Amino acid sequence: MLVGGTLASNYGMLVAIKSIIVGNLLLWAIGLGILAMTEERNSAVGNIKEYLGKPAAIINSIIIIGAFILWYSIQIDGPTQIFVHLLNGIIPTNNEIRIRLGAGLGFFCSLLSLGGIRLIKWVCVIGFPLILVYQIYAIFTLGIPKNILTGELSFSAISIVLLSWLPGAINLSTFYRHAKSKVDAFLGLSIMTIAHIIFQSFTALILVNEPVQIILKENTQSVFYIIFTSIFVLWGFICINLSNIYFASAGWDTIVPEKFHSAKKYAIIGMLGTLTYTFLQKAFYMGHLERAASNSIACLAITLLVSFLLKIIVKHRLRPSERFINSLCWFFGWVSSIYTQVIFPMEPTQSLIVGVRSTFILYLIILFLEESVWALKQTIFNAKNQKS
Amino acid sequence: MKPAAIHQNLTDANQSSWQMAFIQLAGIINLPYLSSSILLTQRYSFYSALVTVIIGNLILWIIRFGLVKISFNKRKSTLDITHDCFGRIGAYIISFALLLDALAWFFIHTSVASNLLASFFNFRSFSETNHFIQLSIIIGVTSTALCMEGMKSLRILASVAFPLLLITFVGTLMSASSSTTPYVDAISKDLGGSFSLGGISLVLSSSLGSTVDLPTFFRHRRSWQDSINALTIFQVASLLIGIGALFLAQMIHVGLESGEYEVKIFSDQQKYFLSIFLFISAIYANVYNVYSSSVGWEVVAPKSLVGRKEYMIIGLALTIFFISFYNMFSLHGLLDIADSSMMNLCIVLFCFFLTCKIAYKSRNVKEKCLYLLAWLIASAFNMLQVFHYGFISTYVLLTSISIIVFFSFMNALLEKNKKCS
Repeated sequence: MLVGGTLASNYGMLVAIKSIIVGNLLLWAIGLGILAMTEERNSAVGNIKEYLGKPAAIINSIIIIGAFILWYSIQIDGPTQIFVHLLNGIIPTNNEIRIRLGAGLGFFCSLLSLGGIRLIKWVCVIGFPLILVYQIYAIFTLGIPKNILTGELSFSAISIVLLSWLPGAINLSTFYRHAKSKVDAFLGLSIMTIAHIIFQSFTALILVNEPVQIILKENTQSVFYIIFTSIFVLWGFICINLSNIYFASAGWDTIVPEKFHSAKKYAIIGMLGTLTYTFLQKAFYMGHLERAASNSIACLAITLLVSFLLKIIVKHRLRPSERFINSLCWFFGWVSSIYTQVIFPMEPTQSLIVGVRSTFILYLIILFLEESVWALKQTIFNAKNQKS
Repeated sequence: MKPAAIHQNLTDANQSSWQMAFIQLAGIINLPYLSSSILLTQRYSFYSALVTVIIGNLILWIIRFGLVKISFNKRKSTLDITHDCFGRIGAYIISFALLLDALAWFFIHTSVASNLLASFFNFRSFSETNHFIQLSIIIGVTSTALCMEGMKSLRILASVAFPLLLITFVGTLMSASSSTTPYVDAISKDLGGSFSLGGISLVLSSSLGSTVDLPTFFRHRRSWQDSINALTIFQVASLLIGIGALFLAQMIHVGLESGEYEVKIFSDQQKYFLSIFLFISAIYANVYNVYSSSVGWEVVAPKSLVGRKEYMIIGLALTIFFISFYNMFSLHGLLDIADSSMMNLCIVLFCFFLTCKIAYKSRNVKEKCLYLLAWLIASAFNMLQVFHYGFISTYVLLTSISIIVFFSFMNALLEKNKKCS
């Protein structure tokens, strides 16, 4: 949600909103491809298994679990900052209180996650109108700055929007496999895209790019505002982290024996996320790990989409090494992104763009070679046939 | 309300005597439990402390035997017997008391282990926080992860933890025995004196709270013979551990009123032994307490939260409570109140057993109400006494026994009058 605020502060509000709309429409298209990929009720890892094979599915399961555990711990930090700020003055708020509060929230979410997909459904169904009402209320309370309504559509702003939800888009099938029908899944995707545009535009409109700013702005002193904001922050935190746990559970099912597939797995993932928050959130390598995992998932998204498109387009010949080629392209893109990350550690988007680009270019090269060799072979074969 | 045993199919109900004994023994080798022995050495002569531990354990054996005997039929848990003794409402009240007791012990075990471990080592920290909270979270998470399969995981954990605890306990004692400046020189201290009533009440009050949980664990037995064998092994071994713990006073000092522990570290070897001992004992004790309180949870929680995931729910809830509230109130006050209520429950159930065996077996509503009243009054008195004295004293135990015996006598008298009329 804070993507909107970040874009608005860097590019201006109008550019941010335009980019949010275009970026989310592109994400919608990616999501559509992901959902249309298979007729089965596959999770994200199921799709990976189908298109890239089992070894890639196992590696990606580990990456997906790691990435969502990292995001779980990052998501804990936002509400913790806000609540620590609110408690300031009531009790002495030091680093210990921050850790205790964050760990408490993390464990609370782990406890709730035992309710599985049913609880997530109800929490989100109740939370959606609440969040929407809060946003309208907050816009009226905080007001909209009027001096930054200029600017053109920006490619880099669109990329930021695109990349912020790309890992989510690739994992959409983990949630949408519960849809009543394909129609419901597609309708759900459209509604979700509209909601994303509204939510991200909200932070762009009120110019908030750090969680704690939501209570630091002018006109935020009323008790009602603070209570309503606290409920909004807490509810939003629960929704997002229950979703993170459920996303990671798809990877868990692939690499962990079946007897550990009960609801307890959600709580275990949540506890791992909380432990990461408690012990490793300030470790210097966490940012690098998070970036490496995100880059891998982004390359995977491109791999899945291209392979899906190729499946539709290339029907005139067999592709015996399809899974191997898909895995190779994803792996090449990921390694390129890690290499770029090492060379340019201060430019996170650079490594991601290089990774995505490398995956795509390798696909093009392989496809070009495959098609050319196949056509050449066919020509020679036809010529031989005509002679005989 | 139905008895807890009927709520759920009992799993792992074929335990041998050694398995049952190990489960109990691993539960008592921990610093908060052994502090009664340390306090005895601090307050009395070695000989007096030794005699007190032996006599205290003999009394405990009789009470434990009574509780195991009364729960034998239908594999009853503590709460099932409470249901028989107190009735439906009483069982609900005791369920909450059991959960409160588990919470208090979780707080004590986790904070004692985290505090001491944090003081022993200077762990490298990325998050610039104090090590106490990090260690507490590690202990909480490990306990929750290990308790999730209920009795099955507890049995496996006991068979691993008990030998380790025994080795580290003996290792700690041996590595500290050569020290020249102990807190209390247990051996060369005055050997005279006899046992004291205060010492006996200390041993009893520190053990009766956990004794009441025995039926919950012993319902998993293979046979009656296994129960008796397990009880004997447990009693003999706990006596030896209690005697061994008298020597812990050489390096550990327990503040009677504050309940805080001070440890003198004489060598690296002792530090490592004690650290492993503290870590494993805290985790095991937490897993043990989660299981013992689960019978209470099964009564008060909605049906959807009971079953295989209940242990994880209790473990996570206890961890959340600990992180949120650990220094917001007096831990030892909470423990004294919770533990004295469990001690009273133990005495009431033992009196109930005696009246059933010796006098009569009538269990009407009036009788159940009187037992519940006895427990409530004794617990209320104890609470006032704990607030007054700051710790469980001889008076607390004597008050409890007097009130409960009086009500049991009233029950017997009413029954006799009823029969005469």
